[in-house]
Amino acid sequence: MPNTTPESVVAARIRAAYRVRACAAAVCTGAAVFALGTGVGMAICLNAAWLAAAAALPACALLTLLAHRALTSSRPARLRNALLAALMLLLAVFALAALVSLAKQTMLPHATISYIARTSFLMAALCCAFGGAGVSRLMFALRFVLVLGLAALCALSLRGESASGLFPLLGPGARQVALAALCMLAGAAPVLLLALPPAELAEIDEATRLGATPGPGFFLWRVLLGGAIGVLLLAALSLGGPYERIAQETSWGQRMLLARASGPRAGGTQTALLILQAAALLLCAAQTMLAGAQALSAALPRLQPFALPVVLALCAGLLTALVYTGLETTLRAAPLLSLPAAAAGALCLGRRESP
Amino acid sequence: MKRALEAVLLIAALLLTGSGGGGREIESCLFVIALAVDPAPDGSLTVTVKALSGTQEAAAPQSGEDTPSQEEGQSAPSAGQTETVEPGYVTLSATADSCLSALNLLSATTPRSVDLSQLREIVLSETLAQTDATLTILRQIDALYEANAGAIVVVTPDDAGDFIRRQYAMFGVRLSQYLEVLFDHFAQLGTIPANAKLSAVISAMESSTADAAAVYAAGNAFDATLLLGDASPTDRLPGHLPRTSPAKNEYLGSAVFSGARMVGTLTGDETAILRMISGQALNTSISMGEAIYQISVHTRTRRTLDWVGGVPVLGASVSIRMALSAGTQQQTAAELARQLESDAQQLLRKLQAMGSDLIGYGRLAVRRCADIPAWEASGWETAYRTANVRTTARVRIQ
Repeated sequence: MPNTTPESVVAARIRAAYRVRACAAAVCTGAAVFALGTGVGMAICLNAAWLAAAAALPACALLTLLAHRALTSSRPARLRNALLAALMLLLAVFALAALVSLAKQTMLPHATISYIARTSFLMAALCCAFGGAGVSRLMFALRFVLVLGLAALCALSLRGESASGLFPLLGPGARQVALAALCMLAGAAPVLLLALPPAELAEIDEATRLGATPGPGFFLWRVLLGGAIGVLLLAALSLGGPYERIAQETSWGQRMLLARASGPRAGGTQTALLILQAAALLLCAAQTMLAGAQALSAALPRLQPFALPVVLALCAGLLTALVYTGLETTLRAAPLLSLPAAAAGALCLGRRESP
Repeated sequence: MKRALEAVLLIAALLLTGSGGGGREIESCLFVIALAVDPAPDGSLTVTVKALSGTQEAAAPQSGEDTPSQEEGQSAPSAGQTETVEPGYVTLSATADSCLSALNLLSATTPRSVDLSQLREIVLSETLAQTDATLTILRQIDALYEANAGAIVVVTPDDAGDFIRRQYAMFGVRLSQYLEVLFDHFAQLGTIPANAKLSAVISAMESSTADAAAVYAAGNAFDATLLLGDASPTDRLPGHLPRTSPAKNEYLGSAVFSGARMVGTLTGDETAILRMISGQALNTSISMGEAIYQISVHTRTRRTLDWVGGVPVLGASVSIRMALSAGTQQQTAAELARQLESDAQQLLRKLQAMGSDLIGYGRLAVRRCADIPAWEASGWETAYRTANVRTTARVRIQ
């Protein structure tokens, strides 16, 4: 007879909530690695961007361990939460900028940037308005679709292509790869949303929640898988053609398009790929907005009823500013996200307190 | 509070996303089916397009005084000449300093904007293809006018504008469909290169590890059957085939590029061997001696690059199964294999002499280099020209 005591039911519920949260962090990490790789990595080291992006994986592992430490501590950390709120807000803007670039290049080439930005922001805001748990659960529900779908569609899109697109392995040189790797460390930043407990566990008392929190390995392999998918997508982009083709692509959105140089750029496979890429970026934007609102309420409890509208308003303002200054401004600032991420990670190392 | 926020966001979404995205009406577009580029006498370019006219009547020719024409010695752009063509299509041409300017001029002088999304064919004159301007022209067409990346690039020794004027849909089908079927047909025969699409040609021209090939075509100038030596009908170039044809243009063989410049041609037979070595000869036919064979799907090809004493050896091995489809088999499988080896060697030597790496051995050579500066300093182009060649073939006749 299965054990259905109230304690085991609560423990299962806590574990399920953390599982959903870990999937959300994995999807956000993969999307961030992909967006940063196409925006910054490819501009610096062309076809070796996937190699530079691999440097983000150890950073993902380290931040996961630090976030888990923060998760299992009951010590209040207003400074850390404030820093997390700012970081998540900036990540949301970055994800939306990537989505706008992708849409402008592929789905809506004749639309204006401001129209695409408005639509993307509204779609992300609508996802947030109906509850934070829903976005995470949607990512959990789509975990196999995203992973297997992307892998299958990449393989289909690149069938018959040789591996010569990956060569020379170091692209323009080891120095450029090292510089790109440094910039790509910011791709690990979304992992820090694991430092915030899932919102649906708010009504469970802290001692019970802390007691049922899984170990770091529970989160680690999921986050690393998400990051690895981002790295593999970058490798697939390199396989699509010679490094000279990447050097010719000046637009961020152009670099995100996965198609064989000698193959069709439109069709069922490319459309399906675009939908999955756009969905991952949109969900990343929504999830990081929600995490930002949660961190803001934890840092400033008086702001709790207004946390989400404040985050949405700030996001809309920043995105509007980017539309007018140019989306490429995002790419110059994106590598600097590793600084607040490192600071927040360091703050997770504070003295742990048990309830 | 939450429901109020939801309601506000929904209303805002309805109002803001309904404000339009800058789309274009279909009727305002001039859909181009074929595009031709020729050099003009004073260094500018003449772009000729054959497009959907939007009506079923043939376009009436405009008189010389109605259209701006280019006087001798004047470098001002000219545009707008239309000619009578078959119902449903119109041919327009414009001359300007660059391909982009000529296309912009066509858009400005017609009531509709040029749209290359339905483009099926880009024809370049051979004179132009032998210059470095080819890549710039193709890039402009691809990037700025969102041309159909699957449009086939064709090189002709004739005037490219006349080439597309001579072309018309046969058997009552639309011109766009006719061109698709035409290229599929010749691809099945294996006598045109497999990767002659616009995106593939641009990618190969930009790449330092492989070179591009376009379809070679010319006017069918022969009115009577004529024997031209012992060569097979497909071992010639278009315009020299010993037969008549209802089509005014013939497609046969490849225009070979080294970088962005055309450096030579391959006959139909040579193109078939090229496709076989490149692993692109599935379900095609090949003529050997007096017989024509159908190659089955069990073709296995392998390209290798070995280094012996610092000298590269280009290797190509082919293992094919074929069935006699026409003519009389006069050679055994072993003799056919030796002939294939010899033909493949001759082809590779010809490509080496032209300095064109159509097979893509550079893709194997680049793996030895750690980074791009090392690859660019490796001197592959010189090494390729002087490399040894080794070919092996195994044939099974069903």
